[in-house]
Amino acid sequence: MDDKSTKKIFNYNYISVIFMYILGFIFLFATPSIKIAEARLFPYIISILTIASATLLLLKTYYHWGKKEDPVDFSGTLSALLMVVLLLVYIGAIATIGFYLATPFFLYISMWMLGQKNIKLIFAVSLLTPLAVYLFFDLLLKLQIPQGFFFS
Amino acid sequence: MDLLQFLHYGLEILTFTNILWLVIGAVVGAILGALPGMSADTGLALFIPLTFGLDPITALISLGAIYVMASYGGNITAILINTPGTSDSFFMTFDGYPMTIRGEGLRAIGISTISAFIGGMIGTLALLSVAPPLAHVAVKFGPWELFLTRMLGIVIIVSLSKDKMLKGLLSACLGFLCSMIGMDRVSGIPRFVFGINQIYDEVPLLPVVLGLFAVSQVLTLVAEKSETIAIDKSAIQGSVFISFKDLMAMKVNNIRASIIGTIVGIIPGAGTTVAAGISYDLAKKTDPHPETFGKGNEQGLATVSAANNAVVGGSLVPLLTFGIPGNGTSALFLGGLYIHGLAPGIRLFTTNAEQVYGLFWGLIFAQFFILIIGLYGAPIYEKVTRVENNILIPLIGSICILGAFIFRYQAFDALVIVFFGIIGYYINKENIPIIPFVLAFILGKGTEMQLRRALLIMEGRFGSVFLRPLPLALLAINLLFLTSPFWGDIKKIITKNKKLAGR
Repeated sequence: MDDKSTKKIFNYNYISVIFMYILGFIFLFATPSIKIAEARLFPYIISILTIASATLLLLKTYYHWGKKEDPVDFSGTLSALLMVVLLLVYIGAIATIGFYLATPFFLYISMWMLGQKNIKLIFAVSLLTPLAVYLFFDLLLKLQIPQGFFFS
Repeated sequence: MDLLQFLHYGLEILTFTNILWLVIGAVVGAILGALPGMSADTGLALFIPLTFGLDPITALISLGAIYVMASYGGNITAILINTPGTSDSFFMTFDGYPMTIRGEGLRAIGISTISAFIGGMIGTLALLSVAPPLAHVAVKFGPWELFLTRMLGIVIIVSLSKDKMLKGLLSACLGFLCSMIGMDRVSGIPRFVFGINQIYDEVPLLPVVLGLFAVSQVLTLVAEKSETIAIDKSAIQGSVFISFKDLMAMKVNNIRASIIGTIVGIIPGAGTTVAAGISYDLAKKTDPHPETFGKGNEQGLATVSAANNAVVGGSLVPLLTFGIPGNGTSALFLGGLYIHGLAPGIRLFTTNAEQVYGLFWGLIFAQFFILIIGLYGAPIYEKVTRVENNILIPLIGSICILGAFIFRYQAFDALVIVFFGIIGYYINKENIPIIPFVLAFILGKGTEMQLRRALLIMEGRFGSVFLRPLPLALLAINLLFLTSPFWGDIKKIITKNKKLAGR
């Protein structure tokens, strides 16, 4: 028999269950430290409900109760994680050098990373976006745009 | 409120700023609705930060315009490239795209536009006539009633899908857990802050919403490496205008679908797909040529368009009166209300009457933008769908981060949107419904407060809920909805047992 056909597909429900167990127990154990008794009621109800629901999902997944779920496709997650890293660097850059300086770099790198080949277009979008933000947010809406240490 | 007063509010909102923001909201909504992969939810989430500096009335008008136009914008791509811009436009592909294949793409857009206008108008007029008297009913609600009404909103959404009900419940639990973080509104003491000062008050609403709806969408698009599906120029030929005779031929289906859409919109959780499905089925059954449905039948297309847009007005009825959002977009709309210091209920129609009636007028004006953008915007659609994802994704990412920064001027909020973006990405991939999370998060603090108020008044007795008819009825409705997905199974078991007993 073909190995691929017999290979068991990992069920991501287990990850969800673990995540919800961790959260449920953190909230459950943190609840007694709330000083006022009335303020503990709702957290107790919700954290117990969370743990109970997670347990039901665990049992449902393990014993294959109910209708078979559609397979979950996490392909491409590595690219998504790369985008997360880029966004985090972008946030750090905005906090230090400001939005107007950080944005052209972020846009240039991310467009290039996502496969845009037209360098002129990349340049145009990278430079015109901060300008549009300045005109729209700064001048028209009078919103405070993060300036970073260069301008503040 | 008399007609003169209402007209007075209409005249009051006719300022340059309001009209400018109405136009901006309408155009942005139409573009975001038309882009495959984007939706009214993403549009609203992205747009809320832009409204920070605006008067609440202007903000509401532009958010209303986005809601209306994004719901309509999805029709365009559904008709022209068989790809619904939003899931709500799924039924539009049935008859819209076959018309495009026949070389009648523009005619299909014309029919869809006129019908969406009729549906939207009827939905908005229903909102105008039903919501204010209903809000007076809401004022009679005590804490138990308010608690159970809020719970009902969440229960309905959770129970929508039987197969995903457990996941929906977990999603709601996650939302409730997040809502409990920060200052307890009754006692004023912080809870579950874990030493993070930035969440001492609460986990901020806007970064969470931006993360769940916009950043998660950015990550999904990156992961899927989806190509842009541009509209073929050949699909945009002919005339978008339809004759009066053709319009009159569709009047029965348009009006019926608009009424169905409005009623279904008022029922929390039922949503656009249900309204479109019921209307389409009725139109098919009553048509002399039902076999042509799904093959480019104009009546079918008109029916779905009218029902889709009538839902918008209907869905705002429970939202503005009881604070129950019927779908994801109205949940975000509720978030927008809270951010601008407005709360649903009777006060919205009395103290904040100027804002809410301004919103109604904004919705009416937005319907006319459907006509303008729908009938004259055809050349733009082709250009809009040609925007490549590798340009769109970084731009949306950048706007999201900027939106988070300008919310409270804290880098922490930008980290929150990335965190919830990852959560949203996982939730989407794992087929966990996201709306219960958002609803529970938005309604969580208020729900807890009402429960505690009820218990305080009734001296901690849970049983007091059974002593009054209205809370008892609401509790029964909650249980009814919670068990509704299993009625079919229960009926099957009973029938099986009866058969076995009969042998």
